Amino acid sequence: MRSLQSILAIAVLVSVALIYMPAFAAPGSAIGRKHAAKANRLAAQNRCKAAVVEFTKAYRLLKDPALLFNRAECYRKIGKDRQAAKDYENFLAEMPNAPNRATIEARIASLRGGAQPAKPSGEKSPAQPGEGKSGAPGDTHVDKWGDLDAAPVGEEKQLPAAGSVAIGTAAPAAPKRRAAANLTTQPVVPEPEQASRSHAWIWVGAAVAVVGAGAFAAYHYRPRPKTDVPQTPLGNYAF
Amino acid sequence: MAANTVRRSLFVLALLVISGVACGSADSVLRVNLDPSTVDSVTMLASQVMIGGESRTIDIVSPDGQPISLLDGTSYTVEIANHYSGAVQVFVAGLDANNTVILNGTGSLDSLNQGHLNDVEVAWQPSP
Repeated sequence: MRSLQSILAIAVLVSVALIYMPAFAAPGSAIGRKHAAKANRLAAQNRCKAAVVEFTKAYRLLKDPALLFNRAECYRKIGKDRQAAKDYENFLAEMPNAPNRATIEARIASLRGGAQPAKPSGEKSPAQPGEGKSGAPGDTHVDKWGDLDAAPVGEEKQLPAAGSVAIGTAAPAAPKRRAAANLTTQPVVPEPEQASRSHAWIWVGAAVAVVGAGAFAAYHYRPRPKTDVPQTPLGNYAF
Repeated sequence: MAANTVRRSLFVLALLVISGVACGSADSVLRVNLDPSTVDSVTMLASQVMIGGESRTIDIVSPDGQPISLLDGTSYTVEIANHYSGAVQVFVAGLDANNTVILNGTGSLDSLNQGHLNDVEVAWQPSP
Protein backbone atom coordinates (compact mmCIF):
# COMPACT_ATOMS: atom_id res chain seq x y z
CA MET A 1 0.00 0.00 0.00
CA ARG A 2 2.70 2.43 1.08
CA SER A 3 4.90 1.53 -1.86
CA LEU A 4 2.01 2.07 -4.25
CA GLN A 5 1.38 5.46 -2.70
CA SER A 6 5.04 6.35 -2.98
CA ILE A 7 5.11 5.37 -6.62
CA LEU A 8 2.00 7.42 -7.30
CA ALA A 9 3.41 10.36 -5.38
CA ILE A 10 6.64 10.24 -7.37
CA ALA A 11 4.72 9.86 -10.63
CA VAL A 12 2.59 12.88 -9.84
CA LEU A 13 5.56 15.00 -8.80
CA VAL A 14 7.52 14.00 -11.89
CA SER A 15 4.51 14.83 -14.05
CA VAL A 16 4.19 18.22 -12.44
CA ALA A 17 7.90 18.83 -12.89
CA LEU A 18 7.83 17.77 -16.53
CA ILE A 19 4.76 19.81 -17.29
CA TYR A 20 5.98 22.97 -15.65
CA MET A 21 9.67 22.70 -16.37
CA PRO A 22 9.43 24.84 -19.53
CA ALA A 23 7.62 27.50 -17.55
CA PHE A 24 10.36 27.60 -14.98
CA ALA A 25 13.17 27.37 -17.47
CA ALA A 26 12.14 30.63 -19.13
CA PRO A 27 12.47 33.18 -16.30
CA GLY A 28 16.29 33.21 -16.39
CA SER A 29 16.35 35.12 -19.65
CA ALA A 30 13.46 37.37 -18.64
CA ILE A 31 15.21 38.28 -15.40
CA GLY A 32 18.43 38.74 -17.29
CA ARG A 33 16.72 41.17 -19.64
CA LYS A 34 15.38 43.08 -16.68
CA HIS A 35 18.86 43.39 -15.23
CA ALA A 36 20.20 44.46 -18.58
CA ALA A 37 17.51 47.11 -18.98
CA LYS A 38 18.15 48.36 -15.46
CA ALA A 39 21.87 48.42 -16.11
CA ASN A 40 21.29 50.52 -19.20
CA ARG A 41 19.09 52.93 -17.29
CA LEU A 42 21.72 53.29 -14.58
CA ALA A 43 24.43 53.78 -17.13
CA ALA A 44 22.29 56.43 -18.78
CA GLN A 45 22.13 58.24 -15.46
CA ASN A 46 25.91 57.98 -15.17
CA ARG A 47 25.49 55.65 -12.20
CA CYS A 48 28.06 53.30 -13.56
CA LYS A 49 28.97 51.58 -10.31
CA ALA A 50 25.42 50.36 -9.90
CA ALA A 51 25.19 49.66 -13.61
CA VAL A 52 28.22 47.38 -13.41
CA VAL A 53 26.46 45.27 -10.79
CA GLU A 54 23.39 44.98 -12.99
CA PHE A 55 25.45 44.22 -16.09
CA THR A 56 27.17 41.46 -14.14
CA LYS A 57 23.86 39.95 -13.11
CA ALA A 58 22.53 40.23 -16.63
CA TYR A 59 25.61 38.64 -18.12
CA ARG A 60 25.42 35.73 -15.71
CA LEU A 61 21.95 34.99 -16.98
CA LEU A 62 22.19 35.94 -20.63
CA LYS A 63 25.85 35.30 -21.50
CA ASP A 64 25.60 37.95 -24.12
CA PRO A 65 28.97 39.43 -25.07
CA ALA A 66 27.35 42.81 -25.74
CA LEU A 67 26.87 43.06 -22.00
CA LEU A 68 30.59 42.57 -21.48
CA PHE A 69 31.22 45.45 -23.81
CA ASN A 70 28.75 47.64 -21.97
CA ARG A 71 30.21 46.74 -18.62
CA ALA A 72 33.65 47.51 -19.96
CA GLU A 73 32.41 50.95 -20.92
CA CYS A 74 31.11 51.47 -17.42
CA TYR A 75 34.31 50.23 -15.85
CA ARG A 76 36.21 52.64 -18.04
CA LYS A 77 34.01 55.53 -16.98
CA ILE A 78 34.58 54.89 -13.31
CA GLY A 79 38.31 54.52 -13.83
CA LYS A 80 38.56 50.78 -13.32
CA ASP A 81 40.83 50.38 -16.28
CA ARG A 82 42.02 46.89 -15.46
CA GLN A 83 38.51 45.50 -15.26
CA ALA A 84 37.51 47.45 -18.34
CA ALA A 85 40.38 46.00 -20.31
CA LYS A 86 39.53 42.53 -19.11
CA ASP A 87 35.93 42.90 -20.19
CA TYR A 88 36.98 44.24 -23.59
CA GLU A 89 39.26 41.24 -23.95
CA ASN A 90 36.52 38.84 -22.96
CA PHE A 91 34.21 40.57 -25.38
CA LEU A 92 36.71 40.04 -28.17
CA ALA A 93 37.20 36.45 -27.08
CA GLU A 94 33.46 35.97 -27.37
CA MET A 95 33.25 37.87 -30.62
CA PRO A 96 36.56 37.38 -32.34
CA ASN A 97 35.13 38.59 -35.64
CA ALA A 98 33.91 41.88 -34.27
CA PRO A 99 34.40 44.39 -37.09
CA ASN A 100 35.71 46.96 -34.65
CA ARG A 101 38.19 44.55 -33.14
CA ALA A 102 41.17 46.78 -33.87
CA THR A 103 39.45 49.72 -32.23
CA ILE A 104 38.74 47.74 -29.10
CA GLU A 105 42.25 46.38 -29.08
CA ALA A 106 43.51 49.91 -29.21
CA ARG A 107 41.33 50.78 -26.30
CA ILE A 108 42.59 47.78 -24.37
CA ALA A 109 46.14 48.80 -25.10
CA SER A 110 45.53 52.28 -23.86
CA LEU A 111 43.80 51.01 -20.74
CA ARG A 112 46.69 48.70 -20.05
CA GLY A 113 49.06 51.54 -20.65
CA GLY A 114 50.57 49.93 -23.73
CA ALA A 115 51.13 51.24 -27.20
CA GLN A 116 48.11 51.86 -29.31
CA PRO A 117 48.16 49.84 -32.49
CA ALA A 118 47.88 51.53 -35.82
CA LYS A 119 44.38 52.28 -36.93
CA PRO A 120 43.35 49.91 -39.66
CA SER A 121 42.11 51.47 -42.84
CA GLY A 122 38.39 51.72 -43.25
CA GLU A 123 37.73 51.44 -39.54
CA LYS A 124 36.16 54.08 -37.50
CA SER A 125 38.46 56.04 -35.34
CA PRO A 126 39.03 54.43 -31.99
CA ALA A 127 38.15 56.16 -28.82
CA GLN A 128 41.00 57.80 -27.09
CA PRO A 129 41.97 57.04 -23.52
CA GLY A 130 39.72 58.92 -21.22
CA GLU A 131 37.40 59.77 -24.00
CA GLY A 132 33.79 59.40 -23.14
CA LYS A 133 34.29 59.41 -19.41
CA SER A 134 31.26 60.53 -17.57
CA GLY A 135 29.17 60.49 -20.64
CA ALA A 136 31.43 62.50 -22.85
CA PRO A 137 31.04 62.18 -26.59
CA GLY A 138 32.59 59.05 -27.91
CA ASP A 139 31.08 56.82 -25.32
CA THR A 140 29.29 53.88 -26.64
CA HIS A 141 26.84 51.59 -25.18
CA VAL A 142 25.31 48.62 -26.81
CA ASP A 143 21.70 48.77 -25.89
CA LYS A 144 20.15 45.50 -26.75
CA TRP A 145 17.58 45.53 -24.06
CA GLY A 146 15.49 48.47 -24.87
CA ASP A 147 15.22 51.67 -22.93
CA LEU A 148 17.00 53.31 -25.74
CA ASP A 149 15.75 56.74 -24.89
CA ALA A 150 17.55 56.45 -21.62
CA ALA A 151 20.77 55.28 -23.17
CA PRO A 152 23.74 56.73 -21.41
CA VAL A 153 25.40 59.11 -23.74
CA GLY A 154 23.06 59.66 -26.56
CA GLU A 155 25.11 57.87 -29.15
CA GLU A 156 23.25 54.63 -28.86
CA LYS A 157 20.85 55.56 -31.55
CA GLN A 158 23.71 56.39 -33.85
CA LEU A 159 26.04 53.75 -32.65
CA PRO A 160 28.08 53.47 -35.79
CA ALA A 161 28.95 57.11 -35.53
CA ALA A 162 32.51 58.32 -35.29
CA GLY A 163 34.22 57.32 -32.12
CA SER A 164 31.86 54.48 -31.66
CA VAL A 165 33.25 51.12 -30.83
CA ALA A 166 29.96 49.46 -31.24
CA ILE A 167 29.78 46.56 -33.51
CA GLY A 168 28.39 47.81 -36.75
CA THR A 169 27.99 45.00 -39.17
CA ALA A 170 28.33 41.45 -38.23
CA ALA A 171 31.02 39.32 -39.72
CA PRO A 172 29.91 35.84 -40.64
CA ALA A 173 29.93 34.18 -37.28
CA ALA A 174 27.78 32.11 -35.05
CA PRO A 175 24.15 33.21 -35.31
CA LYS A 176 24.05 34.17 -31.64
CA ARG A 177 27.01 36.43 -32.04
CA ARG A 178 25.68 37.91 -35.23
CA ALA A 179 22.46 38.68 -33.44
CA ALA A 180 24.34 40.41 -30.68
CA ALA A 181 26.37 42.40 -33.16
CA ASN A 182 23.37 43.53 -35.15
CA LEU A 183 21.80 44.95 -32.10
CA THR A 184 24.01 47.96 -32.17
CA THR A 185 22.84 49.08 -35.54
CA GLN A 186 19.32 47.86 -35.20
CA PRO A 187 18.60 47.88 -31.52
CA VAL A 188 16.02 45.37 -30.64
CA VAL A 189 13.35 46.38 -28.24
CA PRO A 190 13.15 43.49 -25.83
CA GLU A 191 9.82 41.91 -26.68
CA PRO A 192 8.08 43.17 -23.57
CA GLU A 193 4.94 41.23 -24.40
CA GLN A 194 6.84 38.01 -24.58
CA ALA A 195 8.56 38.71 -21.31
CA SER A 196 5.32 39.47 -19.53
CA ARG A 197 3.71 36.40 -21.02
CA SER A 198 6.58 34.32 -19.75
CA HIS A 199 6.03 35.81 -16.28
CA ALA A 200 2.34 35.00 -16.44
CA TRP A 201 3.30 31.46 -17.28
CA ILE A 202 5.49 31.24 -14.23
CA TRP A 203 2.81 32.50 -11.91
CA VAL A 204 0.07 30.36 -13.37
CA GLY A 205 2.35 27.35 -13.30
CA ALA A 206 3.46 28.02 -9.76
CA ALA A 207 -0.11 28.55 -8.60
CA VAL A 208 -1.33 25.38 -10.19
CA ALA A 209 1.64 23.45 -8.86
CA VAL A 210 0.95 24.72 -5.35
CA VAL A 211 -2.76 23.95 -5.62
CA GLY A 212 -1.96 20.54 -7.06
CA ALA A 213 0.53 19.78 -4.33
CA GLY A 214 -2.03 20.87 -1.76
CA ALA A 215 -4.69 18.67 -3.31
CA PHE A 216 -2.30 15.77 -3.41
CA ALA A 217 -1.26 16.28 0.19
CA ALA A 218 -4.89 16.50 1.24
CA TYR A 219 -5.62 13.23 -0.51
CA HIS A 220 -2.48 11.58 0.67
CA TYR A 221 -2.77 12.47 4.33
CA ARG A 222 -6.50 12.54 4.74
CA PRO A 223 -7.93 10.12 7.32
CA ARG A 224 -8.79 6.96 5.49
CA PRO A 225 -11.77 4.78 6.19
CA LYS A 226 -10.60 1.78 8.13
CA THR A 227 -12.19 -1.62 8.03
CA ASP A 228 -12.94 -2.74 11.55
CA VAL A 229 -10.64 -5.52 12.59
CA PRO A 230 -12.51 -7.84 14.93
CA GLN A 231 -10.85 -9.12 18.07
CA THR A 232 -9.77 -12.74 17.73
CA PRO A 233 -8.19 -15.15 20.20
CA LEU A 234 -5.03 -15.53 18.13
CA GLY A 235 -4.60 -11.87 17.20
CA ASN A 236 -4.19 -9.83 14.05
CA TYR A 237 -1.45 -10.12 11.42
CA ALA A 238 -0.40 -8.18 8.36
CA PHE A 239 -0.34 -9.78 4.93
CA MET B 1 -1.03 29.74 -23.91
CA ALA B 2 -3.57 30.31 -21.15
CA ALA B 3 -5.77 27.57 -22.57
CA ASN B 4 -2.78 25.28 -22.66
CA THR B 5 -2.00 26.09 -19.07
CA VAL B 6 -5.53 25.35 -18.01
CA ARG B 7 -5.49 22.10 -19.91
CA ARG B 8 -2.22 21.05 -18.34
CA SER B 9 -3.45 22.04 -14.92
CA LEU B 10 -6.61 20.03 -15.38
CA PHE B 11 -4.54 17.06 -16.43
CA VAL B 12 -2.43 17.32 -13.31
CA LEU B 13 -5.45 17.72 -11.08
CA ALA B 14 -7.08 14.71 -12.71
CA LEU B 15 -3.90 12.77 -12.02
CA LEU B 16 -4.04 13.89 -8.41
CA VAL B 17 -7.64 12.85 -8.06
CA ILE B 18 -7.00 9.47 -9.63
CA SER B 19 -4.02 8.85 -7.40
CA GLY B 20 -6.00 9.98 -4.37
CA VAL B 21 -8.87 7.67 -5.20
CA ALA B 22 -6.49 4.81 -5.81
CA CYS B 23 -4.87 5.34 -2.44
CA GLY B 24 -8.00 6.16 -0.58
CA SER B 25 -9.81 2.92 0.08
CA ALA B 26 -9.57 0.97 3.28
CA ASP B 27 -7.60 -2.22 3.70
CA SER B 28 -9.26 -5.59 3.48
CA VAL B 29 -9.47 -7.86 6.50
CA LEU B 30 -9.46 -11.63 6.35
CA ARG B 31 -10.77 -13.48 9.38
CA VAL B 32 -9.60 -17.09 9.41
CA ASN B 33 -11.94 -19.29 11.46
CA LEU B 34 -10.44 -22.62 12.44
CA ASP B 35 -12.82 -25.52 12.96
CA PRO B 36 -12.86 -27.17 16.36
CA SER B 37 -10.46 -30.04 16.92
CA THR B 38 -9.75 -32.33 19.81
CA VAL B 39 -6.02 -32.20 19.19
CA ASP B 40 -4.65 -30.33 22.17
CA SER B 41 -0.91 -30.31 21.64
CA VAL B 42 -0.66 -27.70 18.93
CA THR B 43 1.91 -25.13 19.97
CA MET B 44 2.18 -23.25 16.68
CA LEU B 45 0.07 -22.73 13.62
CA ALA B 46 1.93 -22.19 10.36
CA SER B 47 -0.47 -20.38 8.09
CA GLN B 48 0.04 -19.69 4.43
CA VAL B 49 -2.28 -17.15 2.87
CA MET B 50 -2.44 -16.76 -0.92
CA ILE B 51 -4.25 -13.86 -2.55
CA GLY B 52 -4.28 -13.28 -6.27
CA GLY B 53 -1.10 -15.29 -6.71
CA GLU B 54 0.82 -13.67 -3.85
CA SER B 55 1.60 -15.67 -0.79
CA ARG B 56 2.62 -14.91 2.80
CA THR B 57 3.46 -17.25 5.62
CA ILE B 58 2.33 -16.32 9.11
CA ASP B 59 3.45 -18.16 12.20
CA ILE B 60 0.97 -18.02 15.04
CA VAL B 61 1.70 -18.94 18.61
CA SER B 62 -0.53 -18.68 21.62
CA PRO B 63 -0.15 -15.30 23.31
CA ASP B 64 0.46 -17.00 26.66
CA GLY B 65 2.92 -19.53 25.27
CA GLN B 66 0.60 -22.40 26.09
CA PRO B 67 -0.66 -24.96 23.54
CA ILE B 68 -3.34 -23.52 21.31
CA SER B 69 -6.75 -24.74 22.26
CA LEU B 70 -8.83 -25.79 19.28
CA LEU B 71 -11.59 -27.45 21.20
CA ASP B 72 -14.09 -24.71 20.53
CA GLY B 73 -12.45 -23.55 17.38
CA THR B 74 -10.47 -20.30 17.22
CA SER B 75 -9.65 -17.55 14.81
CA TYR B 76 -7.18 -14.89 13.76
CA THR B 77 -7.28 -11.96 11.37
CA VAL B 78 -5.02 -10.88 8.54
CA GLU B 79 -4.98 -7.26 7.34
CA ILE B 80 -4.50 -7.04 3.60
CA ALA B 81 -3.58 -3.93 1.66
CA ASN B 82 -6.41 -2.63 -0.49
CA HIS B 83 -4.77 -3.31 -3.82
CA TYR B 84 -4.76 -7.07 -3.29
CA SER B 85 -7.62 -8.81 -4.99
CA GLY B 86 -8.64 -12.17 -6.37
CA ALA B 87 -9.11 -15.63 -4.99
CA VAL B 88 -8.01 -16.40 -1.45
CA GLN B 89 -6.57 -19.67 -0.24
CA VAL B 90 -5.51 -20.41 3.29
CA PHE B 91 -3.42 -23.40 4.39
CA VAL B 92 -2.89 -23.99 8.08
CA ALA B 93 -0.60 -26.53 9.64
CA GLY B 94 -0.69 -27.30 13.36
CA LEU B 95 2.71 -28.10 14.83
CA ASP B 96 3.53 -29.63 18.17
CA ALA B 97 6.45 -28.81 20.43
CA ASN B 98 8.78 -30.88 18.22
CA ASN B 99 7.71 -28.95 15.13
CA THR B 100 5.91 -31.95 13.81
CA VAL B 101 2.84 -31.31 11.75
CA ILE B 102 -0.09 -32.85 13.58
CA LEU B 103 -2.97 -31.04 11.86
CA ASN B 104 -3.66 -29.74 8.38
CA GLY B 105 -6.44 -27.49 7.23
CA THR B 106 -7.48 -25.48 4.20
CA GLY B 107 -10.02 -22.87 3.36
CA SER B 108 -10.71 -20.62 0.40
CA LEU B 109 -12.71 -17.74 -1.01
CA ASP B 110 -13.53 -17.22 -4.66
CA SER B 111 -12.79 -13.54 -4.44
CA LEU B 112 -11.58 -11.13 -1.81
CA ASN B 113 -14.10 -8.43 -1.01
CA GLN B 114 -11.72 -5.47 -1.05
CA GLY B 115 -11.97 -2.98 1.78
CA HIS B 116 -14.24 -5.23 3.82
CA LEU B 117 -14.16 -8.04 6.34
CA ASN B 118 -13.90 -11.47 4.72
CA ASP B 119 -14.49 -14.71 6.62
CA VAL B 120 -12.83 -17.92 5.57
CA GLU B 121 -13.49 -21.24 7.27
CA VAL B 122 -10.63 -23.68 7.65
CA ALA B 123 -11.65 -27.28 7.95
CA TRP B 124 -9.14 -29.73 9.39
CA GLN B 125 -8.13 -32.80 7.51
CA PRO B 126 -6.70 -35.90 9.04
CA SER B 127 -2.93 -35.65 9.19
CA PRO B 128 -1.09 -38.46 7.40
